[in-house]
This record gives sequence, structure tokens and C-alpha cells, in this order.
Amino acid sequence: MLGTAQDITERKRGEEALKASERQISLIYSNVSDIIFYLAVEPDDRFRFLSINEAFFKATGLTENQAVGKLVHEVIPEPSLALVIGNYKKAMQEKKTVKWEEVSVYPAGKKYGEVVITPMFDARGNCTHLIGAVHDITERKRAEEEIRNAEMRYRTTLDHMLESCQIIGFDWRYLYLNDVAAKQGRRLKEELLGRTMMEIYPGIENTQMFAMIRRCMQERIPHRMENEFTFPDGTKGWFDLNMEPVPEGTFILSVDVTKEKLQAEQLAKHREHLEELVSERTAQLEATNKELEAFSYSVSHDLRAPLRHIDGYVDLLQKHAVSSLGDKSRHYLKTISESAKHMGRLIDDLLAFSHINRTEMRTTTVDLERMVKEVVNGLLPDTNGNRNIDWHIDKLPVVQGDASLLRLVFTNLISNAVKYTSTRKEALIEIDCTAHEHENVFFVRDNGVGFDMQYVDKLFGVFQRLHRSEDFEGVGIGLANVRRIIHRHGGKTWAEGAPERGATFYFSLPAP
Amino acid sequence: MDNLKSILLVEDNIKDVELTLEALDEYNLVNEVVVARDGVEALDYLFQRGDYRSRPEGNPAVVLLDLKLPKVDGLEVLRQLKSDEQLKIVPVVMLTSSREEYDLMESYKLGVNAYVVKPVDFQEFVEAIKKLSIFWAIMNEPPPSSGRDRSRKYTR
Repeated sequence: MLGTAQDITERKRGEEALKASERQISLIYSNVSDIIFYLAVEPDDRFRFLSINEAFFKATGLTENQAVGKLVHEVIPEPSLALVIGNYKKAMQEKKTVKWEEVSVYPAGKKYGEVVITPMFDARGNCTHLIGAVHDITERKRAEEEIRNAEMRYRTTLDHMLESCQIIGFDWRYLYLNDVAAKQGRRLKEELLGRTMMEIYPGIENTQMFAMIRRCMQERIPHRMENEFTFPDGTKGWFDLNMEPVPEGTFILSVDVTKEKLQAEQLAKHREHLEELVSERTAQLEATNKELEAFSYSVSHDLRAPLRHIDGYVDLLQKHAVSSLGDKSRHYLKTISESAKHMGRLIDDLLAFSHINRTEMRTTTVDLERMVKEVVNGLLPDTNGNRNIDWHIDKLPVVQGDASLLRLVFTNLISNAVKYTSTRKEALIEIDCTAHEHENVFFVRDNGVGFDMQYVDKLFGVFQRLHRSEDFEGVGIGLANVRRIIHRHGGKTWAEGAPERGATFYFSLPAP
Repeated sequence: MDNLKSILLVEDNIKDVELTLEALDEYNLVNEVVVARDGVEALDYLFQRGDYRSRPEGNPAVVLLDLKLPKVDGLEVLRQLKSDEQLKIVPVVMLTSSREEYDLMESYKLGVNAYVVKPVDFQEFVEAIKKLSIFWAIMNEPPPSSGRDRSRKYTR
């Protein structure tokens, strides 16, 4: 009895211990954060949830009614069902615990789980139950996916960049290349990846570029350089290289500037050619100028001589035969002599005119007001004191120009004004200047005989005259000289006038 | 006659020769006028060579030298004359139609004494000849008291 009592006591104690243990397990079962479930194995590969802990409902968003007592294929969504059933059967057949990762979509969302399933067998060795546990790895997976996505984003960016991108490892192997890099290197990506630069381009270790990459590898600071690269086939390319230290080695961003280089070279060649052309043309021009000079020389020498002879012999004839000549004959001789002298003046003026273009400009600072006053004073004796001229000379600027040429301009314009007002009892001659933004405009205005605007274009031509030489003497080259001189100074000439109502002659000089 | 110095006129144009002689004559220039028609002849006269080997000794009082001459031009005649120790004291008047700056500059560099651009107007020419020739041939070289000698010698 004692023994029995003892047995009973022991059994009770045992039962209590078991109960305590069950309570402990039950507590763990319901409070553990991992999912734990218990499956009954039924025929035809059917598995029924006998019990599932609270963690499952929390993770999936399903209720107890939707899962407990249901078959696995009623609870687990389709995409991962095949994997799950397959692994269950594998655990049963191989009689061991099987692990895998799965992803399923539940009302609570997409869940990643690390599943462990363990088969349980009866006395006869038949698998009757499966115990499973799922560790939720959704957070980890999401983080991993984000990293993968970010990586993919950067990779896609690099892959599709218009510049060449490559990463060279510390062992000089190509770790990464985009398509442009492969194209720039005239190699296939597959040929390059994993191989060293020295293998691909023998001798590259002696180049400045290689030295720069080495510095970037060692010193871990970015470098930039323009590199002339000779390909194995002998052709050359120019590249703008940016080297950036990265954890794997050196990142090289390279822009092909060959086209720009070649264009610049082409441009330089064109420029050279242009310079050649210009010097050729200049030489031609100089030759033409020389010819012109020779022509002027011969005109001056050869044409003047016969004129001199005509005048000389007429003079001798007049002296020797003066008594035997009638008035008419003397008039003829006088006319011959005058014509010869006139032609002499024409030749001299024409030569002076061509001289204006041929002489080099000697640019100095010229005080035009002083110059105009000197010119006016120089002309006064010609008026023989019997002219009544009212001079209005305003403030004139100091300019840059050739003093002797500018003096010729004012001498021509002012003496014209004096000449063409000779019929006026009271002559008025104004000399003034108006300043504009880029130029000074000068004018010489008179109240003389003026001219018809219809003929204004003829005024500045060589040997063009608007008046009869009996009325106003002159050969008609003064204004042509003025126009040439002003053109050589970068200015313009023009005129306004009306018959018997005076004339105004304008010219502009660029502001200094 | 030996102490009356001659005038050397170097001129290729026969009309210019005639007109120049007329101009000289108009002012009753006393000297003998020797005319050379090209640069070679002028140098022959000056250096007593060729046809002039046996000409009377003595340098001309003045040389009226045309610039543009056959064979040897006026600048070359001037250069040779001015680089000779005996001849360089002879005054030279350049007589020319040219107004070219180069000739003018070059002549002065070579030591020309005067430069006349022959004017078209004959009276002006006579005037110029008078001023220059009289100055160099007469004023510079007082005429001998023996009086004026109108004889003139044309060479050729």
C-alpha cells in the first residue's frame, strides 16, 4: 500500500511536473515571436493545421478560424504552396528537418519567412505530424532589397552614362565597365572584365595615365588629366580623365575629346592656310602697289617732259618771232602754253592723289582746332584782303590721325569754302564738330554758290567738277583727296547743299 | 680759258639739252658747257677716261645731273662722283622730272648739293637754272677779271 501510495504520490508529482512543463511550453508557445505550428499528415499529401501560435495571426493578419483545422492549401497562398508542400514531403521522406526561405502574401502584406519543418513519426515509423517554425525575415529582406535596388539604380545609371566609366581594382583588374568604356577602349566588355590593364594594353604601365591611376590608388585623392592614348593599331585618341578613389580601387570617368582635338587641329590648319593666303594676297597687293609706283614714276617723268618741251619751245618761239606774229598767233601760242601748264597741274594732282593712298599713315595726336586756325591763317593772303569773310570756328577736339593728311582735308574744304563764296559780299564760313558715341562729325559750311543735290555723288570723284573752270578755277581733285584721307582714317564723307544757298561738307572720324 | 671752269650737263633728252642751254644762255652764263648724254659719258668726262682722256685738266664748276639716264643712271654717277676724293667737292645739282620721295632721299644721302624738279612752266625752269647754276658756277667761283667769254662747246 505504501508502495502504491508512494506510486500514487510519485504519479501525482509526475503529473504536476508535466502540467507545469506544459504550462511553461504553452506560455512559450503563445508568447514567442516566431511562428510555431503543428500539422497532421493526411493521405494524398494533405496537411491540416492542428494548432498555430499567436505569432502567426499577428504576422499574417489571418484569424484562428481561417487557419486552425484547415488544410495547408486552404491557408497558404498559391505561389509558395508548391514549395511548401514539396519541402514537407522532403522532410517526411528524408526523415529530417528541412529549412527554406519563402515569401507569401497575406492580408497583413508580403511576408518573408525562414521556415524550419520537422517530421514526427509513430511507433511504426509512419510520419503522422509535422512541427514547423517560421522566423519572420521580412524586415531584413526589405533592407536587402532596398540595397539591391539602390545598387541596381547606380549600376543602371553608370551603364547608361554617355561617358565612359570603369572601376579598376587594386590589382589592376577591370572590375566594372560600362558599354561606352568598352567601346572607347575598342574591346568587348567580356574581354576586359577580370583581366588586368597590363594584360590588355601591354606597356600601359609606362604611361603617364597609369602613373596617375597608381597615385589615385595609393594616395586616395582624385586626379584629373587630359590623356593622349595610342591604340594597339597605332591610331590616337584624346581623353579627358577623372580618377576618383573608390573602396574597390579607382573609378575612372573618361570623356572622349578626340573629335574636339581633331577639330581644333583642323582649325589651326585652316588658320595657317588662311595666313598663307593672306600673305600671298599681301605679296600680290604689294607687287601691284610697286607696279603702281613704277607707273606713277613713269607718268611723273615721261609725261611731264613732253609738256615741258611744248611750253619751252613755245616760249622760245614767242621770243624769237614776237615781232613777226599777229595778235591771233600770239593768242594761239599763249593758249598752247596755258594748256601745257594745265596738263602739268593735272598730272601733279593725280600723282599727289595716288600718293595719299601709297604713303604710310603716321598717326599722332592732332589738335584740330589749332590746325584749322593755322589753315585759315594760311589762306588769308590768297583772299588779297579784298574779301569780307565772317569766320565761325567752334571748339574742335584733339584726335588721333595723320597730321599732314588731316591738314590737307581742312585745307581743301576751307579753301573750297573761300573759293565758292567769292561771289558773296559777306561770306560766312562755319567750322564745327558734334560728338557722337562712336565718332566725331565735323563740318565746313558756307553761304556760297552751293550745288544741286542731284549731282552730290559726283562731288567726291576724281576730276569731277560742278562749276565751269572760267567761274571757279581748279582741277576737281580736292574732294577726292578728302574722301580718300577720311576713308583711310576709318571715317565717312558726305555733303548737303542747294544752288545759291551754300554747301555743307561733312566728315566723320572714329572717336578715340 | 684754263681758269674758267666748265659746267657739265648730263642729260639724255636732246630737247631738254637745247632748252637748258637756252636757259643758261638767257642769263649770259660765261662758262663752257659740256654735255654728256648718258651716265657712262658723264663718268668718262669726270674721270678723264675714254674720249675725254685728253681733256683739259680741272673739275667742272658744277654738274647738272639728270636722274634718269641710259646705261648708268644719275644716282650711280652721283655715288661714284661723291666717293672720289678729287671729285667729291664738285657741287652737283640734280635736275629731274621726278618727285618720287625715294630719289630725293637717296640723292641727299649720297650728298647732292641741290635738287630741282623741272617744272612744266619754261619760265620757272629758266628761273631755277638761273638760281642754281649762277650760284654754283659763278657766285661760288668768282669769274676771272678777264671778262665774259660766250664761247660754248657742245660735245656731240
